[in-house]
Amino acid sequence: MKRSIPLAIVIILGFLFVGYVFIPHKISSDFYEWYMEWMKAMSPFGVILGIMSIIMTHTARIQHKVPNWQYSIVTLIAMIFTAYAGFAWGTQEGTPFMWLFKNVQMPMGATMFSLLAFYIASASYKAFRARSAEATVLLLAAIIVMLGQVPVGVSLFGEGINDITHWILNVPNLASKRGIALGVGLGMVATSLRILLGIERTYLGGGE
Amino acid sequence: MRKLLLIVLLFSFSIVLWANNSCIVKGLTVTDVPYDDGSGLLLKWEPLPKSCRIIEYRVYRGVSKDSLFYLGKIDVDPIVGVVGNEMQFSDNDFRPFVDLESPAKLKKEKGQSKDSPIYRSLPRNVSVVGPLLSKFSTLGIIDKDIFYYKTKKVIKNKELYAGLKTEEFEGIYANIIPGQAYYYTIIAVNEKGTYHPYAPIVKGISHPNLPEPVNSLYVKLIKDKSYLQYEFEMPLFTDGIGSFDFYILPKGKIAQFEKYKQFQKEYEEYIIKETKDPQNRPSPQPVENPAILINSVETSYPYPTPNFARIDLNDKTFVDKLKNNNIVLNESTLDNYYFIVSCRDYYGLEAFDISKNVNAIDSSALPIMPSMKVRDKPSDKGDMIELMIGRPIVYLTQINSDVKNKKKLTINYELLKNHIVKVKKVDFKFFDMSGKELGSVTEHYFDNIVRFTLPAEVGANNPFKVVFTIYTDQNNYKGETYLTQHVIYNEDLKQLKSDALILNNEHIMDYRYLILKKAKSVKNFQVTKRLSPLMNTFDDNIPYETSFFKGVADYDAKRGLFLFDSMIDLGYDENLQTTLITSLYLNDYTDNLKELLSDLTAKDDPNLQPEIDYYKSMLKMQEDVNILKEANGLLGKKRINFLKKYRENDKRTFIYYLVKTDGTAQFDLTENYIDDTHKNGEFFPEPDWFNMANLPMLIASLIFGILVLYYITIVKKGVNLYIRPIAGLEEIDNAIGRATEMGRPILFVPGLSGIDDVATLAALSILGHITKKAAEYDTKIIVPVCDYIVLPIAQQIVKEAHYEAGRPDSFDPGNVFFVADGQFAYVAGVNGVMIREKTATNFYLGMFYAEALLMTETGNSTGAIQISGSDALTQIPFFITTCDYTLIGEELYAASAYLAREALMLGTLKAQDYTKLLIIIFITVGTILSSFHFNFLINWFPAE
Repeated sequence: MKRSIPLAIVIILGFLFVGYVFIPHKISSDFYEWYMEWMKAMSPFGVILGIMSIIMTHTARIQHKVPNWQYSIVTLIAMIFTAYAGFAWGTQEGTPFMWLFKNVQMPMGATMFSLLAFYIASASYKAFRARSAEATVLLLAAIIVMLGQVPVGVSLFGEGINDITHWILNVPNLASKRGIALGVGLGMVATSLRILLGIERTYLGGGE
Repeated sequence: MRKLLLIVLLFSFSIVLWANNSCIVKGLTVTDVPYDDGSGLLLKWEPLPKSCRIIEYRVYRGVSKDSLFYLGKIDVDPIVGVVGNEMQFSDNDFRPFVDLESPAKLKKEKGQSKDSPIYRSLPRNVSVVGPLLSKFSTLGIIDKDIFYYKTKKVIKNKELYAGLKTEEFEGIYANIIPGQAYYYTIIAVNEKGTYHPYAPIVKGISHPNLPEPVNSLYVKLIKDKSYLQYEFEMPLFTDGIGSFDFYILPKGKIAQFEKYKQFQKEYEEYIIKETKDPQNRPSPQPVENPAILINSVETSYPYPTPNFARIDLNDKTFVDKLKNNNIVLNESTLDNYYFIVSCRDYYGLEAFDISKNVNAIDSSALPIMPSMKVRDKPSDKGDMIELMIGRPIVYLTQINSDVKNKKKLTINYELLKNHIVKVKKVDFKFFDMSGKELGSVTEHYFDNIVRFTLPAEVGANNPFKVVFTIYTDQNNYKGETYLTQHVIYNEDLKQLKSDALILNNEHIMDYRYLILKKAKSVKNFQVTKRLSPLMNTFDDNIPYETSFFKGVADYDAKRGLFLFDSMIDLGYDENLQTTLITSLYLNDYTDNLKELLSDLTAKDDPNLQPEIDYYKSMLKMQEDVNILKEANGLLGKKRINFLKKYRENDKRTFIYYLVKTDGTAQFDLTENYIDDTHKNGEFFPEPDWFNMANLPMLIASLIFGILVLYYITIVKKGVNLYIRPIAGLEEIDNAIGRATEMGRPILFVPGLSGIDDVATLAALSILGHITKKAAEYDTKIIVPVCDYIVLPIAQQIVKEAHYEAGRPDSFDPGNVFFVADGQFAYVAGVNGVMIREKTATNFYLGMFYAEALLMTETGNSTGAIQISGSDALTQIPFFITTCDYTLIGEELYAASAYLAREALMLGTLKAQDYTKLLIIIFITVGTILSSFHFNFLINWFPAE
């Protein structure tokens, strides 16, 4: 029962939604809208799970005094205070909640994001080391594309570099991307079909 | 010391008080909205200085000074403040009055003292709201099924009503009415949420005005057809206009007409005075309008009314009317008359515009009408009717010259066609302005780009023209379409630019289409869409009826009900020239009518005769009209279902025609569209059971499904299928073993997507296999989760995997935890785990975005062995660069089957491979065919 009921729900609803894609009738779209309303109603309960998980994880860390447990206190206080600010003063412009969002969360997110530039440089270095024939091709393609994207490339090598860049991006690059996308599409369909037919059940928890 | 403290305190207090009072709204005025029917007031006030840091101005309204309720607000950016020295708020529309979200009880507004008259929204209490109903014009929005099946019958003061509780309405809206005094104030709220004191309360009374006249009136006499055509621009304010009236005025009668206009102004003043202060003053002496009314078009508010009229002067009605006034209209007499359009409101007030642009033309000067087709749109849910106008059109959008060779042109074009036309090819022929052919290009596949090099003898900046020949499917549009477009050199932009587009000697862009439609249930046509002449298809949305709109007339405090009429409008009956109506409660309705009739008859007052006649006609309608007789023969729910179906059918059945105009009354129009299957021209959108656009998808899915079943059967019979080794999956065991040997944990990141992403499901499937193996080796696995719905599923998978491995004791629910749903907050958390826990093996499986590299580079720096897998095309290169093994795209989806090695799973993998083979064959064949201009395969399986 523990497994068969969720499985039955997945299979029935799965086929109903497959039907929705092919059946434009009002009955079908009404069902979809009705389901989406339920989805909206159910989502907030999921947030509770997340909050409970954060509280349990961090209280356990504080209780067991694991290394760096002090950060858990900061996390919990930040969470409680942000939630309180939102409930007490609202979330519109000019409120403490918005102040926290603009002056704490956004800069911290931007800081993490800015690291990406350095990581890309480091990853590029690893990728473009000409250790083999394939890596050399990659290096050459990258140099051409980079030069094609900047004015100095055109002034050094003329308009031709632009054409080569476009060719690299639009022919071999696009062809391989589409090849992967095709495989991904089929993989998705195959996985969905395995789920719909009840062949794939591991997402329900464990194996058989 | 104490004194000093007291002084400081007093000083601080007075500063706070001053600061508070300096943010009170000043200069509030309430004036009547011009040109309206008396349902609008305009509030104006001075904005507060930026230093007040105001985030919103809240408007309050009441019918007395002692209780004002929240009406609406204007948001302001506290940093920028308000540009300008005046703020405005129009109270001229139906605004929320009371609904489910209204407070249960009367609540003072925030920051108000006990004696303040300022309240939050009106409470949803019938006893409080009910007495206010008569002070407003109200509109209750009721869900269709609640109206039909859940209303309660109420008889109050001998009137029959339907009643509903507040929460059963979707909302009740209210607008102000003429002559009623309303009181307004404004409260400014700053960014800290402080409500400043309210502005002095100001009174306002709205009243009806003369309507706004129409603009840019044009009149054309079509000589050979004897049509008189009017066209104008709609006024800005159209609320309250009941009809547009079309007149002819002999020029000799202009003085008399001016007197009539003067009378209109006097009549307006009289109405204003009577509205504000009814004293039964004598109305101004009526003056006869000397202009001859030749046509009148009732408005179809809220839908746009046609802004044109064609009057057939051969029509007997007009001939007689004009003859009686000694008017003969032809080219030579045209100058003897003024042509006038008036906007007439429901009070009989009229505003006029006299045409200064009158002339006579031949019908050959009228635009050439395109063909039109109307059909129920296929593959829809039954809410679209598709209109197709004219032939396909090609036009140039941009012309770019090569930097080095200016004569080498890259030309962007647009091909507009409707769904029933299949364009086979388009020829682009280039000519110089003298007509000499410069060359041609033929397009078989329409990628919106052609390349053409001008011949050597033609200058790079010389103008030229392009003649497009569009070859279409012979079954739909026989023959070809020819269009010509001029290309000129723009000196300012220093480049070639497309210019006039000509079809049938008409400059297409000089015209526009108006699509007019009329529901079976209404009397008049409405303008449903104004289309650019380039558009040759239009999907007319015919929504299903979901709500009823009813004026809330009364209330029943005892039962807590708002009351409204119980009538069902069944639409206009052209034969009977009346609107058919009946009640939800038939017997009570007829009894009520009879009772009212007997009461009125008993009074024996001749002034009541129109009322008596009306009630009699209503009674007769219930008994004599066939459709009502048929409905009334049914009982209870069956009757309501019948009426509901009839009403919806009539409301959603439409008749169409098309107008093509240049905006100066030089227009032509089609007859109401009919075809073989719709001989009465009525089109109803039927819902469809299959979306034909998805047929290729269905066929592909069926082929795939059949292949899956086939391979499952084969595998079950014991055939051993070869599955190519996937390095990333082969290495999973080694990676887990490494973590075990090092005595460090494993990190599993299931991506950023939710459970509705197939990539997440695939990742969770792999999580089960990995955890089981890790549990067998007693290695800790950490799963930080980004989506709170994924969290319990991941926890369950990890738990069950431990149980299956026979190591329930090693399962720690704290190892599967929620980090954050923000992308970079999550990365920060995961990177922290990697560094603190010194994970030996990292798995990144699922959907990733910009955070992928941040995680894998950190993992790389900690020396962990990393295995990744994603279908995110943009992130795969980063994974390949920074991880030891990467599952590219479909390998992620294959992983679960690959690891499980079950017959059923392997069957799907094999089927997947063969489907891919089929697709490759299909693409190859398609490429070859289209290279030789055989486009049928592309047309059979369109990309959209």
